[in-house]
Amino acid sequence: MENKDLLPIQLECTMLFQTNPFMVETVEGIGKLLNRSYDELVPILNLLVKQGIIQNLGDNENPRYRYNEPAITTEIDLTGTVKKA
Amino acid sequence: MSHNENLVKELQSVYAEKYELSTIITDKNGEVLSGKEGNNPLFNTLYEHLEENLLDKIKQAEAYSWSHSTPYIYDLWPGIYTIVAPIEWEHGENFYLWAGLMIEENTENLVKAQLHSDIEWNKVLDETPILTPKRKQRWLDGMKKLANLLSLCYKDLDEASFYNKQNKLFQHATQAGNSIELFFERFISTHPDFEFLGIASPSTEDMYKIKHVYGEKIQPLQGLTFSPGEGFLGRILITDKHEFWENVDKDPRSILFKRHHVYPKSFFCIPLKNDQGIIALLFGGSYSRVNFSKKSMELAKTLATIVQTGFLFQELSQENIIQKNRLTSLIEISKLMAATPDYKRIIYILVDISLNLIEGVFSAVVLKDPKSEQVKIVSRGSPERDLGEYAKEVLDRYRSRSVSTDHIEISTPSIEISNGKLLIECPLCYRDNILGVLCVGTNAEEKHQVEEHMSFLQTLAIIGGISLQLVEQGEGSRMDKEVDFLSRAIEQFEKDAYKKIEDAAKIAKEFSLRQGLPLTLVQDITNACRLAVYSPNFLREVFLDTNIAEVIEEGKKLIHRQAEWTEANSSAQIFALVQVYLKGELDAFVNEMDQKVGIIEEFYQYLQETQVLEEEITISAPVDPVDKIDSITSTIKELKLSPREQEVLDLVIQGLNNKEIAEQLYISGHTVKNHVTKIFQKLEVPDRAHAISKVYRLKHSSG
Repeated sequence: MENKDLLPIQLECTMLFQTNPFMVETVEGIGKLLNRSYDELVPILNLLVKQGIIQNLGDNENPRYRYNEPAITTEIDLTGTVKKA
Repeated sequence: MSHNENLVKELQSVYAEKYELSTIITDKNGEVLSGKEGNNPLFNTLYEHLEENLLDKIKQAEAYSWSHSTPYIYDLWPGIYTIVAPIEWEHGENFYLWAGLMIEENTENLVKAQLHSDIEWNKVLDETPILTPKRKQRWLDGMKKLANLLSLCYKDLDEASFYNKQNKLFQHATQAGNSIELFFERFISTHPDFEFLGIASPSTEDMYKIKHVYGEKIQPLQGLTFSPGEGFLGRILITDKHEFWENVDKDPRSILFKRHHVYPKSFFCIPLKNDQGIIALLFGGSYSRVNFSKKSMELAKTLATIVQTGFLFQELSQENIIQKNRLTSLIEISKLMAATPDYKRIIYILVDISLNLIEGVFSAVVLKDPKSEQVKIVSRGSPERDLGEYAKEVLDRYRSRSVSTDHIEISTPSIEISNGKLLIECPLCYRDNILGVLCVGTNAEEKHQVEEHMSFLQTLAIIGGISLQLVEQGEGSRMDKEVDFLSRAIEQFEKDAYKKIEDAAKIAKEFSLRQGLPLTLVQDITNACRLAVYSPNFLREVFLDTNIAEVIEEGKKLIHRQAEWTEANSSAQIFALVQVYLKGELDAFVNEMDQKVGIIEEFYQYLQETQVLEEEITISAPVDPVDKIDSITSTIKELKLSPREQEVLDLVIQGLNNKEIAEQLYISGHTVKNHVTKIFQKLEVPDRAHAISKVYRLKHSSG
């Protein structure tokens, strides 16, 4: 990745949301929880939204972020048929 | 005085004594490099009493312009002679040995007439050696030998001075630390052969840019871009070798400089490299000197080596920081996995962290249920092909690896190519068992682009594999076993009741999954159906961390009309519906209710589809529940609700009651109730079931 220095903050953010999957938080709120500045967090949060790890429940002016659980695909029969969940 | 300077003096003195002459050494401008040695009366008298006069004569001598390489006789004054012997020094430049003085026979009076009258010249001239043809040859031969010896001394002296300069350069590099500016400025100020220096490095894929310049009159070149082959600098990018150009002002390639009003006379450029090739160009030169001495060239090369080492040092430091960051992250991840013995969380960590790391387009954990031929896939993004087919392929591949006789370590990651892009696959292993595979789709097309991430992913997969196994051995499987044990205990007493329980569990599981509920809720509802005969209090004692008892308690209240249907948790609603259905009382139960829409309507629909054609399993594309949740979230977003109301509705749809919503959002139950009422008003629905039903209807009609 290009922004190699950002990786630790990115992982911190991801783990914060994973640990609190129902948390809905503003950039400032996340900043307080992680002790990080607004400017440090904004690019990371945008990246995480792009990757689908978190979602923005607010709008662009007042973003509020929440964890977005990964897709859990239903059980697939290895013999070839696919069961509907 | 250095060792070599002492040697020069010693040689001068010995030869002067032997030949009755006095000697001095000057450079090509007549400046004295080594002062007088010897006892020649005329030389010494003139040197001591008329020093300036003698040295002026030496300075003004035309001897310097002659291209002699051997000693010759030169007259400083008419009739007063000296030997001038060129001392060969660096690249064509000479020093000069002056050895004298001597006069011709019977010329004393003539000589005396042109000298200062205050001195008793008769005595001096009597003792002055007479120049005879025989002596002349002896002197010339002697001074030739002396000049040769002095030449060796000066070359050695020069060598020592070069090493001294080089040492200084290394010292300056150490003192300047990371400040290349300070280092270059010192270099220019202490080495007059170089009046400017600069660094060019890649700017785009094909272009290079002059990023830094140091020295005078070079500023206009800052920011100049050039392509390989263009001008002096571009040439180095092609030849990959250093070059030193002389008389640059006459070279047409200097047009690039002239355009920016920079007029160097000499110019050098040295490529700075690492393992992959050229990383930057170091250049420099002079506005006054047309050429470089050998020593200057060597010094420039030393400078380039130091700068190159500096770049490599910076690169390594950066790499070290990155590795340290990764290691710290890995420690944090491991701590998190160890602290959270939760199967689902571990899988989520693997999926999210690998996507974080690679900045990939897709990541997934493909898991195989050890008891059946079924797989589960937890994923983000898409592998740009059918996920089910891909997962099957991955598992087949790893299954064959585990039985293969090739000695491939079972945990070794592999790289597959899908649609031209690389996919990294890391098996999640415990001992010799493959529990699943972590798959990460990248944007990379070539192996070297992902190589740096392989070890991190492999480590992540190893930790993940062990954590999954530990969780499986621990809490999860223990609970499954206990639920299984308690439920099978019923079989011992009432076989029919047990069959009904199993049917209830099957229907509850299928229907809850179809409702898109989270897997933990599905598990709770299914287990509640299997353990419905036990008292909630007993179940609370046995299963501390689950909601099984609550589901049964609230569900039974619903069945007995002791709780409000619309306020109830969807888990309890499903439990109640399944229970009354298996008792054959569904219609009666529903008929007594005011509302028959929402979850009830969907339950009827489910029963129609599945229970009539009980054995027929639909073969269709897999439904992705999270896609479903995602699209529900996006459907919610389309509704004219405030962001907070959207969150509340989202949680309502996930089956949370008001109390649970209040806990999740850290607000009071009263506020939740207000939000819920407003949502009902805005959606124009009377209750939760209608609200959920409406959102799903909107989703289906839009999707």
